[in-house]
Amino acid sequence: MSATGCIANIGDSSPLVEIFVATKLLRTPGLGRSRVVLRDPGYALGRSGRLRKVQAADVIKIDDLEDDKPQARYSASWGRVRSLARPGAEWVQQSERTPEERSNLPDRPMEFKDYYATLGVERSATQDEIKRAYRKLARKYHPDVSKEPNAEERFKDVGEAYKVLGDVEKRAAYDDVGKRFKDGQEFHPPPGWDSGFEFSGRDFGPGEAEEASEFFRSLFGNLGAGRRERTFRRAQGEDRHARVAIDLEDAYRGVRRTISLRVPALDAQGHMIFEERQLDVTIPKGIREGQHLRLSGQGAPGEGNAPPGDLYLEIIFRPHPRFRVDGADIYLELPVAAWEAALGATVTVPTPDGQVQLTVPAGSASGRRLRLRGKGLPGQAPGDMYAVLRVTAPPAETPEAKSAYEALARAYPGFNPRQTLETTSR
Amino acid sequence: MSQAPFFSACVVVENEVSFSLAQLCQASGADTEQVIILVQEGVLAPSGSGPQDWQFQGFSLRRTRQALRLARDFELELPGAALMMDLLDEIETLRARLQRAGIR
Repeated sequence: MSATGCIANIGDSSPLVEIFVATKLLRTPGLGRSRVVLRDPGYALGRSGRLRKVQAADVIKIDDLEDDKPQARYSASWGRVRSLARPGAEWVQQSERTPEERSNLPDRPMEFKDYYATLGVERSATQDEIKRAYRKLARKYHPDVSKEPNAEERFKDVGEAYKVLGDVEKRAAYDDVGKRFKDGQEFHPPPGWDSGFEFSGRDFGPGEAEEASEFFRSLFGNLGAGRRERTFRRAQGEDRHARVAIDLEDAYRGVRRTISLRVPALDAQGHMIFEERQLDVTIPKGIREGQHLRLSGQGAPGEGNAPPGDLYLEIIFRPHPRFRVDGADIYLELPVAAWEAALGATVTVPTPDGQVQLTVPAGSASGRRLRLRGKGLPGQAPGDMYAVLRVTAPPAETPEAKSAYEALARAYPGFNPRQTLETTSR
Repeated sequence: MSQAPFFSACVVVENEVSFSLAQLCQASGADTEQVIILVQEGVLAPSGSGPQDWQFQGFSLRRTRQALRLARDFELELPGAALMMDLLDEIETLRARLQRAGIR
């Protein structure tokens, strides 16, 4: 099945919307859900509200592909919005928007977020039930206490849902808008929507407002009351925080990174908008996971002539397929043959900084840690690298190998590998 | 629109920075009272005889932000968040010890 579509414009002559063409439609029977195979690369706007690059031939899930409405889930970041047309259907252009209405629209379409589904509660849930559901999920996914993979991503959604549903005022406002939208549907806030609302309470930690989803910001704005109060006392701009993920190898050598920041700014009409700003940063050799870099004067602008705040970047290491990091030390599981462990050997070992020769002493057992002094993360007090031995035995596949194992068995008539099991049994 | 990236020098907070009380508040977003509670609870251990001349080591920024985050996300008072941090630290230490002993 192939998809067709046409380029459509909204308002002026710049092509704001174009059809995202799918080459194939794969339906999941009975589910109302479909997957499409993309013809062109672009950007997919995920459920979390995050943009992800997609390649041609990628398969993407879409919901509710029942009517002729475009599924506006795919967008490019700079003004050009891509939509997905129902395969075989001609995309019907929405009514043209006036420039005024357009200035109220975000650059790209947003999905309506079903906060009730995120917390796993009914729409009729009491405030108590919502609180209980949130606490349960917070215990499971809070990045400070959770060992779940992608805990951080999950908790961001959960926290945002609770910020809205946990607050009676915000919940009422959200319910009001929610009557008109389904989860994942393209969402535009009604014109003038947030101007009449002043929400109280602390929504975000300082410097964290930019982490909220676009959907949340479009509904509730960016500021909590605590922040405004603070500006009376401090004219200096607020300090901001962001995270940067690097590879372990980068920490050994230092690395230069271009960082994209979303910074709030005021447009010509005095509306709060987010601007993307790029910053080149040299991440120094020897940086440890969890450490912060301070970039002076790169935080929020100050009031009047007051100085701007600083920007703090927290460094995170991407998981490494070979090495495990513990502070300044790194660990490598090093497989050795049984005879290398028994007789001793010199083996070549990878480190994040290149290969080294390591002597495995004779008589080593599985689990023995061999230290490579100073081969951990560099710095004033460089860390160590530990190679943890894992003794391996090859399979006995040939007659020669079998007789070698038989000879081994004969050489160890009294050897009992399960001795420890017997001493602990009664 | 997107501008050309510009270069910015930076320092490693944990190695090269120490904070006064006011500086720590500015960097972490905490109020003075909150930082004082965290000192009383033992989460932060500044040098100096009193709030006027407290000096906090660089890693205090991370700890302050973690305490505020826990308090906010678990709806705790700061002493509760401080207890939580103690326990998390202890778990971390025990895990590291297990790992060093070769037990996963």
